[in-house]
Amino acid sequence: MEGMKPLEPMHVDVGVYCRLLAQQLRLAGLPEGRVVEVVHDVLDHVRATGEDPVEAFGQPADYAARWVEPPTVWDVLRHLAVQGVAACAMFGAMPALVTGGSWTRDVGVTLDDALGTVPFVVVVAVLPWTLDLWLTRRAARSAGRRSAVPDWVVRGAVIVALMVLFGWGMSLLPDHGPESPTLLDAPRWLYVSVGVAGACVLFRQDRGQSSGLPAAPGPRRSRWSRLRRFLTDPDSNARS
Amino acid sequence: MSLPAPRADRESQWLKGVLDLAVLAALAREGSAYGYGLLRSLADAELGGLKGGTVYPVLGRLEDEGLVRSEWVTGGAGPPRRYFFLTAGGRAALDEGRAGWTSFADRMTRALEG
Repeated sequence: MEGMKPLEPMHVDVGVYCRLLAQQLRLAGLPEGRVVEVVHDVLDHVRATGEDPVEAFGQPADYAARWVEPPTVWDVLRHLAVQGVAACAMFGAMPALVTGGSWTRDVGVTLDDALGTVPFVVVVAVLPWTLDLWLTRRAARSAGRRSAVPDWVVRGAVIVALMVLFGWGMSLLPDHGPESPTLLDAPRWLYVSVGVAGACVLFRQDRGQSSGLPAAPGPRRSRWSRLRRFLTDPDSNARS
Repeated sequence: MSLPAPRADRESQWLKGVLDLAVLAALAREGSAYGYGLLRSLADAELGGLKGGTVYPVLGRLEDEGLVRSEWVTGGAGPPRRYFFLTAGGRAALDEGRAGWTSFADRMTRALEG
């Protein structure tokens, strides 16, 4: 694989394998119940046989593709667009939120305000669906192999490049100062409502990294059944 | 002039087409089985070399089609284990598959005999 050194095979930790597999399955939109079952089968199999998970199941990305089609470019662009709009709404609401006064008072969003949200939108919406997605996919295609360029180097390089690009872009724009043109005028309550909705969308979108997985196989329990179990038998948590 | 070597992956291609039937048959033999147990049963039927990465997705698909059901079973020690069972639909599909395979194999044998 490109960028990977063909080193001697390493035994892949089953926990690492399952984390990478679960990420790929969730990114492709497999329901959470099925994700847990697939991961539990891997855990149970490796526990029973002692086999290397990559040897038994293939690379996490390949094994995930046996269960569900990987996300297409259009899927990723759709997520990116939704997340981008939600991030704009959330960060666009900040000036209206910190400005005091009546909720019905009109607040203007200037060009400078809009430009100020760009770095936040890039960090919150664009990077997760581009850089993070690529790094996750790279890891899921090369479990047990050492990457020629570590993730932290790639991340650092991208962040530095973005900072330079942003600074350069800002330097090209004319300095409006307090005369920055107003792009939008709307009541405070509207900004804040849209911002809260944007925040909800932003944190609702799953990038395959939420929901921890249990370390051992077992049936999937709902939050309610776990709570009921905890209340009726507090020692059960220690056992499971 | 030597004959071309037989395709090394021919058997795996054949198996790919009927692996679901082999899994159903193994479950019918075993009554119930967890994933690795099923792999061993398939190996006993001289279908060794199958990997977990091949068999579990087949089980998942059969479960989606209602031909197999699974149940978590808690043993004496260790975590619960997912056991697979054949459903009535699975038995019917297996019977139908056996008849189809026998008919196909007979026709293929005749065709190969020229």
